[in-house]
Amino acid sequence: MDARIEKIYCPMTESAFYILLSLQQERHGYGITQRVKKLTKNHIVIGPGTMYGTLAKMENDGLIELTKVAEKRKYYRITPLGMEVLNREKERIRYLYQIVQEDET
Amino acid sequence: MKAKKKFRAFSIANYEAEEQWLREMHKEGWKFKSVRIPGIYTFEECVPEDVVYRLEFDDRNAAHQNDFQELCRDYGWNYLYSFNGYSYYCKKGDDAEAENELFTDNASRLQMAETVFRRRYIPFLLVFLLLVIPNVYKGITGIQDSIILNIIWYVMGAIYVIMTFRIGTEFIRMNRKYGSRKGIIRGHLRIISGFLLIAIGGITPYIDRNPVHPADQFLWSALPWISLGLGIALLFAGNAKKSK
Repeated sequence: MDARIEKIYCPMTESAFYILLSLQQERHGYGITQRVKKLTKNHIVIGPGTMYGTLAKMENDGLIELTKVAEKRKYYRITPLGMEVLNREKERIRYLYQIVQEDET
Repeated sequence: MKAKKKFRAFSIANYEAEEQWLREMHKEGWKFKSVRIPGIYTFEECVPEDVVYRLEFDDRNAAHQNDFQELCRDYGWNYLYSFNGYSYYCKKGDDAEAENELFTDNASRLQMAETVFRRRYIPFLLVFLLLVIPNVYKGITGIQDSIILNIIWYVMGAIYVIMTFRIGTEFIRMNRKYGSRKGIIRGHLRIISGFLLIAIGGITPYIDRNPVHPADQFLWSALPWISLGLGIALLFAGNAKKSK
C-alpha cells in the first residue's frame, strides 16, 4: 500500500468505512446510504454532499471504481486496493474490540 | 401569486445563517424563488410549511455538477437555483435532523468551507492587497493628490478591512467547529506567507527611498517583483498538485 494512501485511510472516517464496506457489492450513492441505514438501524445517515465527496476522493485514490451508469446513476464497486484498505481497517476495529474485551475482564 | 423582495446581506462564509433564514421565511409562507443581485431575494407566496434549504458550493465542472444534482434528487432534494457558485436545494423537513442535511460529517462540512475560502476569500484578499492597500498608502503618504480619489480609497479600505476581519473570523469559527486538526493558521501557512509576500510586493514600489549605491538601486527596484513572484508561486503551488 502506498504511504500516501495509508496516511489518508488508516484510520478512516466513519462515513468512509461504511461506504467502503457497502461497496463490496456494486451500488450507487443513494443505495449505499440505504444499505448503511439498514446496517446501523437508521443511526448512521450519509448525506449526498458527504457521499459525493467521499466517492470522488476514493475513486481518485483507486479504492473504488465506476462499474456502470444506469438511469443517470453512477454505480461503484470496491477495487483490490480498496479491499486491502478495508481489511486493514477491519483488523484495527477487531483489535480495538479485543482490547476493550480484555480490559473489561 | 403574490411575490415580494427582501434585502439581506449574507457574507460568503454565512451560508448557514442564510439557510436558516430561508427556512424561516418558508415557515411564514414565503418560498424562495431567486436571487439575481447579491442580497436581494425574491420570494413567492406559498402555504407555510417546514421546508429545509441548503446551500452548496463547489468548483466542479458542469458534467460533475449534473451528477451531483442527480444524486441529491435521489435523496429527495430539489435543485432550485444557482448563484455566484452557490447552488440552492430544498426538501420537506424531516423529524430526523440528519435527513435535513447535505453534509453529514464534519470532514465534508469543512471541505466545503475550505472550497469557499479558496475560491472566494482568497481572490477578495488579493484585490485588497494589490489594489486597495497600495492606493490607500498612496493617499496617506501624499503621493496621490486628488482628495476625491483619496476619500474613495479610504472608504474602500475601511470596508475591506471590516469585511476581511468579519469573514475571516467566520472561517476561523467554522474551522474550529468542524474540527480541523491543523488549525486555520498552521493549515494555511503557505497561503498566508504567499499573501504577506504579495502585500510587500504591492506596497514597496510606493515607499519613498532613494538608494545611492547602484546595487541598492537594483535590489530596491527588483524587490517588489521578487516578492510578488514568490507570493504568487506560493499561492498557486498547492493548486498544481490538486487533481480534479
